[in-house]
Amino acid sequence: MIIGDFWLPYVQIPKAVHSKAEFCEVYLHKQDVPFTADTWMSCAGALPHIDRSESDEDLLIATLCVKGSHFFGDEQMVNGRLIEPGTLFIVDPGAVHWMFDNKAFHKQERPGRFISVQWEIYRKNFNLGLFGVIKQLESISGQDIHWRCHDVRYPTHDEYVNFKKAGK
Amino acid sequence: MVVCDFNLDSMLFDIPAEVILNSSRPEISLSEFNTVFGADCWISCFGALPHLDREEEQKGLMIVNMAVVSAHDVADMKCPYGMPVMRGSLFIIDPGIGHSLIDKESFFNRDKSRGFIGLQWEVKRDELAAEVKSIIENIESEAGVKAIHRKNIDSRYVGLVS
Repeated sequence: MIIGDFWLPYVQIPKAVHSKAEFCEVYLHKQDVPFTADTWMSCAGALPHIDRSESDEDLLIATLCVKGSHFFGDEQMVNGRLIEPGTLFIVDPGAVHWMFDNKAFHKQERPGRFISVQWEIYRKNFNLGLFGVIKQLESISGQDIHWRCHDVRYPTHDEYVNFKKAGK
Repeated sequence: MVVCDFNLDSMLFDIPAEVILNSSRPEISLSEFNTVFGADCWISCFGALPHLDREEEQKGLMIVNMAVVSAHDVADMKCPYGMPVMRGSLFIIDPGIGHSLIDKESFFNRDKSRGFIGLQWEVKRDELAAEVKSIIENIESEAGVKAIHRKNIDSRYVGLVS
């Protein structure tokens, strides 16, 4: 679920990624991906689902929101959490998860675009992989991450601080 | 999740006006006025995003619903892709498991969701089997139709209908 928030610099979003974000189907785009991420992801929303192929590969997905104001929820956090530009969150592809523009849903309006970049990290090396992503994003933003993670499935802020100290 | 369907196409329901009105509103509304088949209340909304009903869970209740107006799919964490719910579909909601009621077609086409109207019974969890049996018998007798059991019934509720 949510790890924390960053201040993000301007990011050029490829046209295809932007236009596909109009639809309620997940679109992946592997070209021109910033921050050494693996892929762009865009959609207007996603019904509850499982990503079986990523789950079979034992991957967790670190996702950084670039555009949007959507609620991401999963089976361990049914009420979901608000994701906005700069929010880094984790998707466990084997857990039922979804994404809705709750505000638009409740107003019966068309959902807004959600656009993110994501890193695929093997579960067995997850903490190190995630810490590497955070460290890189801190360096790009010039500020420390604003840590928001209170999820027992994922590392704590102390673990990240210790990782950074050990690196010096 | 859905346990059986009743063919109620030819049945006219006298749905209270406020229930119809509330089916276009974002909150789930309950109305105890003028129910049929011995239901506790009418339920109406245009859809429900995944949520838990902690109050009912803490009271040890399960929720039984029968759709009267619906183009929706009911889903929960154990059945994430959901099951279609039509007029006359009887389904069970476990309030302690995240569940949703969504008009998928409007979701994908980004149109306004159609309204959902149903009848609702709240039953004690440990009396679920007997209560569902009694609800089915009551609908069969009052509507004069037989329950049609779903082939792909959720394994949690297999023993409930014979």
